[in-house]
Amino acid sequence: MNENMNITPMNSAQIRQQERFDRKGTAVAEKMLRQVRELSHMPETLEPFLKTLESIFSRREDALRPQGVPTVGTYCVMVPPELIYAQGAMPVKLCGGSYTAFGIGDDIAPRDACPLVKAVMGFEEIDAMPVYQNCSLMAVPVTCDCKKKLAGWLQERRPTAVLHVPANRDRDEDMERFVGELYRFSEQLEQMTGFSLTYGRLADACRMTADAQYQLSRFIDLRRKHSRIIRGSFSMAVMNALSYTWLPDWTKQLSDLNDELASLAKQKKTAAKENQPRILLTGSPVIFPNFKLPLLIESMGGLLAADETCMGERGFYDPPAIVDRTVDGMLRALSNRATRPCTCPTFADNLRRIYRIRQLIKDYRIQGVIYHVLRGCLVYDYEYRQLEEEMGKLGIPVIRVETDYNEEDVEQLRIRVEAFIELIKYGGKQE
Amino acid sequence: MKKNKILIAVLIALMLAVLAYFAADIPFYTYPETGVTASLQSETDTELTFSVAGNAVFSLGWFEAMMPFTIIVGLSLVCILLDVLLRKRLYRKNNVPCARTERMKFGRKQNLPRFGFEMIRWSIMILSFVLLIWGGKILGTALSSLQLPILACPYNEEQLTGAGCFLFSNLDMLAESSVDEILWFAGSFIVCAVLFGRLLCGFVCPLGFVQDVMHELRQKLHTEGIPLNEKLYAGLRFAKWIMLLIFLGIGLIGGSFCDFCPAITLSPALAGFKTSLYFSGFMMVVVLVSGFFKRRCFCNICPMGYLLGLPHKVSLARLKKNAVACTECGACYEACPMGIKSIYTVREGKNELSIDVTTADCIFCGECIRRCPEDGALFMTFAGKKIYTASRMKFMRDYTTPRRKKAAENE
Amino acid sequence: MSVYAGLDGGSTYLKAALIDHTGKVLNTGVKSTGIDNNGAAKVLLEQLCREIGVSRIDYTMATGYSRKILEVAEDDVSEITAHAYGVRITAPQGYRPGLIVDIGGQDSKVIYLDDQYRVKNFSMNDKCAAGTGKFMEVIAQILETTIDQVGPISLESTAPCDINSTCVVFAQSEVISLVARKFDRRDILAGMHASMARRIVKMIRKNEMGGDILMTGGGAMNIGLRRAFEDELMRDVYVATHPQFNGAIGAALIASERRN
Repeated sequence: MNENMNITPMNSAQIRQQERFDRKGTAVAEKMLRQVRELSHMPETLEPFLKTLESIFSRREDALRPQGVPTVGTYCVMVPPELIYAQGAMPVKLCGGSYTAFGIGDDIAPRDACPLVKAVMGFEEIDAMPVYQNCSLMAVPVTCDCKKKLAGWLQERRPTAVLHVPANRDRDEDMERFVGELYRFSEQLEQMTGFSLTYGRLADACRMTADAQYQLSRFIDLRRKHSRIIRGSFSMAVMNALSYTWLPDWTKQLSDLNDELASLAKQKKTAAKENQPRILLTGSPVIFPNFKLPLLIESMGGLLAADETCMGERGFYDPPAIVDRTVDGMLRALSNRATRPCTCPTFADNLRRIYRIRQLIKDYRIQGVIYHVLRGCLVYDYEYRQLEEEMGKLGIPVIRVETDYNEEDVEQLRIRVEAFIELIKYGGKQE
Repeated sequence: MKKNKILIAVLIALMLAVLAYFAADIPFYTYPETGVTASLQSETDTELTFSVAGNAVFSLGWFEAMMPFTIIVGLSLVCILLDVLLRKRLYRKNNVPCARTERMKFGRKQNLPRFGFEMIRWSIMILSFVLLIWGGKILGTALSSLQLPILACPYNEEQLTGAGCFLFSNLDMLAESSVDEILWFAGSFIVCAVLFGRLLCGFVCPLGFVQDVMHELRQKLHTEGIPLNEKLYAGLRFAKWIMLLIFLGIGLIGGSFCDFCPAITLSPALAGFKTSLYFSGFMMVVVLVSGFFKRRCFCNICPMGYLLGLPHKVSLARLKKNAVACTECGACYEACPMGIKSIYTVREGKNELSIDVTTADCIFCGECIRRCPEDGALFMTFAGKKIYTASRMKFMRDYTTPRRKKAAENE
Repeated sequence: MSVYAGLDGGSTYLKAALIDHTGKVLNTGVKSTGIDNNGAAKVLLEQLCREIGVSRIDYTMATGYSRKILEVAEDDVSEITAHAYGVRITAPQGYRPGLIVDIGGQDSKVIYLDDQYRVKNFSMNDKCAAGTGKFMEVIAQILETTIDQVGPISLESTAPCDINSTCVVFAQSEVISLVARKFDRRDILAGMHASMARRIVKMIRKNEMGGDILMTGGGAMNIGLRRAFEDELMRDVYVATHPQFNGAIGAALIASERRN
């Protein structure tokens, strides 16, 4: 039951607007899901993940979870899911990827704002997405400018927890300041759920995420050892579904997928041909239903071998290294995890991202990098230059692809992606 | 502000130096002079070869010898309890809005200990603890000339080996020692320091074992320690210089480090030697209490350890890093009992994939590698051979649900 | 002798080229497409073959806007790759591979090559008509001339006008007002060329530019535009031989490589 529901009844114009949102939203989600399903070599055990995405975007249901558990909307990887699970709630990552919501948010946010924030504002305005509407609390880390203003805007409309993420994370004081933020957040969670933060609850929650990350590590390992075992679009679906799935369920689903992939690997079956260029996608997040780019890459004859985006693998990659088994020790580990290894460009110094990408290139034998920039996402754009230079040293081609949340530029993207794939094929750096 | 800090620091240093000098006059627990107890004033001692045998374990004499150590443990427990109960009131209240200091909650089921570096290290530590305290009883004193440069306390006759700490802290006695003794002393030190370096701290030193035990106790009880950050380590580093000064200098001005050193409270007593304790008793309480709240706190200020770490550039044990695989997560820094931040921050080196990050402080406990979540990002080598490498799957298994529990859940 | 064909299907015109196995250009031709791309392609190829007395084509490759629907081609390749291949044949003597600037009717492209003529990077403008042949077409119409005349006419200008509008539609109105104010059409055309050159130069990242600049596409045949480029960049600009057919020639070259 959502306490924040609008009490004023909707007039018929609003009802019609909602119906249009429903129709358009469903149409886009269905189209994307169909395109994903049409890709060859889809593992059977991928189906539960697609079903989750279908349930959230196509049928617009609320996130499936045990009875009585409230949801907390989160907006970046810096919000630790462990803390939220420990205090009896469920985190749902609400970064928006919806074209329809973007269209609505376009009127509210400035023209040059990033589409992610516009989509979130659209969700709030349209009042038709239960996974968004039913959140009892929104947790917004202040990372980039747009998130900062989003936090302020949301605060006026619903209970919001604002987390100050330090711009520098290497100094101990900065990292410890974030521990203070987590304690404050924990207080807000307690007010909402009634559960206080105890060692037992936090330890259980950390164990739950450790199990999930163990399966993710298996998944990554399988993809590293058998490079063409699964298409990148499917991996993206798996990671996107995590945002809306009750964690133990997701762990079980991923475990099944891993088992299937392991048996496929034994039979030496692959999802793509050897000569298909292996591409790394990095940059602004690719959020369902905005699966334009992964689908394009794979339909144009490339293989999306890995990604370095926060709604993809990065969203759940770093585990909290708990060295001190106390409440404070665990919160410190969570704060450490949220700041130090994080390759988000909203931090002032982000050299570690270059190293991370270099390691990914080694692990997956990447032949080309597509740098995805959402229009208005300046922070990622800033880092493009440096990455291009580094990739130049390694002899790996990079192209910058800028796009928005609409379907009109698919053809223009297509020709660029196609030319890029040909660039790799004819480029003489075959492997 | 800075001037004030320097002033306070100098005052503390002076105070400690004075305490060290007069340590012999600050009795903690003294035995009546009956001619069979060891006297601790270095002016009267010329040799260490007493003909007094330690009491057999669990005999009446042994319990008498263990009395001071028991008092030390008791005092430590009282201090720990007081701190935990009064912490919120005393110093935590301004730190965070709601500091939930968990007290005395018992641990949940952990994973079964796996065979690996951790287990090997604990086994060697326990073995050396036994040998260095009762080794003489078991294996004779054949190795007693070997002077291991750790705080193993020569006042324990039953030790398997000698302890270099005595001559280090009484450098004036070198002049009176035989050439043989000097050679053994210097030789053992050079060989141990160059070959093993502070590997001895992490694997052999009994005081280190005691501190690790205190740390595990805190982990089992889920009691919070003190916040670890650069300020703390800077303070500890300062204390280390004072300790070093006292260690090397006190012999030369007529005092004795043995009255100050905490090791003397442990090893002789366990072997059954009735040794009177002076200021060292209080030092041991400090070691136990600080070791409870901060992992291996004494090792951070141990002067013997510092000396062992001097030739770290040439010793055989090395810690290396693959800068490309490293995600700069800082887990190694959080886990390190010595607060070495360079493992986490260093990125440049001749060979990016194998940068040597061995420092003079590293005791090779292997915690950094255990807590490293990236495959091959950190590894330890001995004589060029990799003996311990970071592995993501092994890391994850430290935190996931234990197998048997998982099996039960799946039913 | 093996004969290879390349087809470049634009939105209004279809270009074709025939080359032999040595890379020599045998014949080229252009035909307006209408709505039947396939029919036009077939007719064009047959005509080209007849003209040089060739009976069969060993392999046909398509590129351009309609490349995926041309059934007569065995395979297709993107225009970027095709143009990069094309300049291996059409680049004039002395050109060191660096940059290709392709100015087509509906789009313009900048392609960066390494010294082996392989594509390093590329940049396209296919959203806006400014900087494409369309721009010139529209202006030429207002000034009552044709697109192949605008170049020579503009060279006679001594004081080029400024054309400030970025959008083709607004530029139209601006030019009309310039005519009304009795500006010489030579100056207006020179201004138009300067404006186009500036637009396209904006797409070029100078620090990535190694080697020389080569123009291809319909716009390359415009001597006024070439002069404007050279003035804007302060360096020599080469022009490909057969500039209109560069894409088709490149596709044909890929066809020949495919076969061998």
